[in-house]
Amino acid sequence: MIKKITSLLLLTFIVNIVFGQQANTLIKSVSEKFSQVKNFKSNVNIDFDIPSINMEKMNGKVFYKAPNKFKVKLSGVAFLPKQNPFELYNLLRDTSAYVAVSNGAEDVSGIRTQVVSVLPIKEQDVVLLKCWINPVSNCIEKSQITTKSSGTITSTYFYAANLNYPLPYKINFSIDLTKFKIPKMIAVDINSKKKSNSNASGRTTGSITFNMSKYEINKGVKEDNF
Amino acid sequence: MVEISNLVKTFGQFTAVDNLSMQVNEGEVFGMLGLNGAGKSTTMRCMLSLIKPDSGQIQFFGKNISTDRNYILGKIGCLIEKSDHYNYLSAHKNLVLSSKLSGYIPTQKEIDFVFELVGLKGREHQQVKTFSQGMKQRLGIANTLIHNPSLIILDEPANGLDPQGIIDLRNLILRLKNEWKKTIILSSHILSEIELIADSMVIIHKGKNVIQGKTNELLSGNEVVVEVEVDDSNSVVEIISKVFPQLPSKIIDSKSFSVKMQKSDLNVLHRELVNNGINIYNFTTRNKLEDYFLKLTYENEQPVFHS
Amino acid sequence: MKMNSLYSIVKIECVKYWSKPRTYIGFIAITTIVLLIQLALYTDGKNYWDFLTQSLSQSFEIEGMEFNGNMVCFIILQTLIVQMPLMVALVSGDIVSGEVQSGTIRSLLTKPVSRTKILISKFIAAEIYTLALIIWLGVLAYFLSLFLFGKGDVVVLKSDALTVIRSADVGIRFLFAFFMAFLSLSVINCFAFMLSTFSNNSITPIVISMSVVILFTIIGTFDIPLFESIKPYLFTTHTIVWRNFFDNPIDWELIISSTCFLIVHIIVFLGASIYYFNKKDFLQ
Repeated sequence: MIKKITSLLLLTFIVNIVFGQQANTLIKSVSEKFSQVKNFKSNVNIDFDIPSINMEKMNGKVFYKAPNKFKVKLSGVAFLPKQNPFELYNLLRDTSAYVAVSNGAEDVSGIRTQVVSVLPIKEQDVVLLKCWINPVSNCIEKSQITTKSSGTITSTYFYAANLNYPLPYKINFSIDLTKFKIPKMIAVDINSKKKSNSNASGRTTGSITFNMSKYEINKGVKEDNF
Repeated sequence: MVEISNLVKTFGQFTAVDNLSMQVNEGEVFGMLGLNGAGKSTTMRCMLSLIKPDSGQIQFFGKNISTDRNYILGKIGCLIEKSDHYNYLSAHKNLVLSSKLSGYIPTQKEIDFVFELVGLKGREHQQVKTFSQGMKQRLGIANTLIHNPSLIILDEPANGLDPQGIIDLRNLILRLKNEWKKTIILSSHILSEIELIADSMVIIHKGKNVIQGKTNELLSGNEVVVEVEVDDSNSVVEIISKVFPQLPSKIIDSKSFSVKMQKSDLNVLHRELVNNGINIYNFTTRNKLEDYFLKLTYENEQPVFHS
Repeated sequence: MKMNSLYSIVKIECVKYWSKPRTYIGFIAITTIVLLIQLALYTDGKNYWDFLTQSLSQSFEIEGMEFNGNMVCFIILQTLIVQMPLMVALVSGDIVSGEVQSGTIRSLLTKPVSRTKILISKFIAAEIYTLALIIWLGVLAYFLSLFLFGKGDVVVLKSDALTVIRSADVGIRFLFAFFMAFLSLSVINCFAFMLSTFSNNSITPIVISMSVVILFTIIGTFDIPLFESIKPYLFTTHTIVWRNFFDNPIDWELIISSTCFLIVHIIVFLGASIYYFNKKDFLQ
């Protein structure tokens, strides 16, 4: 009996080491690839699909500077995801700060990916990061970040073929809205008519899509943009 | 100029104007005499289309008020009962607005003239809310004149005026008739007001035309009513019945009586009373119309005693 | 002696209207309320806004959500829409009955002008007042707010949805909204006006029209099934239709049906006023 248990634990340990190493290798490749991007600037068109929030598409500019500076500049009100879409690369950079575990393979948007779970060791806002990595292109196709402050945000990344840098032309953020409430204004909403765009469908997630274009990569981004 | 025929106006069960007919000639001052509630104002309101009559015809200048209202009202200036104005406006502004509504834009000279005429010169830029009732009435008269109407209708115009104001109004009406050849219809419940200025008159009672004619004709005549104040009216009436058995006498109260008689017999009555040792404290005579109007007043105010 | 045109009678009515101290109560009230709201929002608007949007920031990173003139204008319009019918009723409820009570109607109706023309001119004067009130509100709420707070997007918070209207798109929507507010106030104006022709004293129509506006508004605020069924038929329900210009996309069908509803009310109220006024005996 003791033998059996010891064998099982040993097997688990070996599997963990093997798959952990595999996950670490994948993450390392992803990090290295992304580390080519020192900074960039691009145009962005943001599309909002959030129940109970009615907002037209809007255009703006995105600025990024390694390791973790990110800014979306828009003229007007916008509801954006709590985390920046490239924050995960910053987290993945320091390999000593987390434990990576491979969770097998999954298809994302028709692409075969390796699923890697990243568990931070140190106490921080991020509780769990899950990445769906394309082992061919070394690009993250999908990520799921769970934080203490903002709940879970799932992002899906879409890349053009034959790209030099792992920068997507589209990012789709799926946002958890279970705690979301429309605030009330000063005046009472007299005789309010029930509108068709209300959250009557009971959807608990919303999505925000960044359509990126005209990347200017590693051409320098001024500090005052952030 | 004005012809009313068979005018009827009822308010529920109450007949305010009862088959009334009357005529007013051009250039005359026409008085409508009647007690309060006799139907004068209702008739005037019907004439001015403020009230729609139940039946009857009202014609001005040969046209019917129901079909040619605007044409007729353009030629009329009127003051119905008390004069009311926009208190928050000046007298000048009130006058100009009134004139404009009548389709006439007066010159400053005309405005000054009218204010002079009604005795409001120097007060024209004061707000009407600071005016006394008499001044408001004067402004009301100014409003009726400013657009130079052919016919002026005044309903109880002396209301609110002080004695001097009443004299001024009387003189003004006579000037309007004599100098500017206006036709004026005015109503009053006071006979003296009418008899002093009206060329013709009508007495209206309970909505009916009781009598109409030339004022001087109605007020003249040989028959008079004598009212005498004595110590004991009952005993005196007995004496009179013996002297003038054919004459109707009326005890007014324990100390006064009245008797209707020919003017020529007045001295006989007086002599008989003196010869019988009766103390006379008052001996007044009234003509028939005066007495008639007074009788109407008494009918309304207290019971009448007939002997 | 020339006949009076409608234009000249309207001018006379306007002179009377604008000479009355009561006419200015509405303007003073609007000015006071607007300036108070602006002052409050100017001094503490940011805190208020942050507090208001607290629940949103739990789920989103909110960009550009700054307090701006367009937002302030929207808040003012939303706050004042409850009070403005009362201001309109206060003045229009008196327009005919006030003249009857003071006796000036006698002088007016003995002029060579038809009763219909007199009534329509009074109605137009009342409408000019209502329009002036709206324009004044527009000047203070829109232009002054833009001057004080600057331009920006409008975030419309309804009980069940949030809509963001882009700054460039806001001006024209406010123009339509102010026009719609004018139309809905015109109905209140017409209602008070109709009561004014029915009454011989000025207080009764003012009190009745104000009471009806308050009653209908209260009915409109309760989500009780019985009230829900009658809500669409209350003209006060349609006084907030201006807000639909701040929907995306604009529900034109709803706006057109509400506009028709309001116009029908205006025609009915005005028609009843003209019919009654022409038949009325003026005994006072």
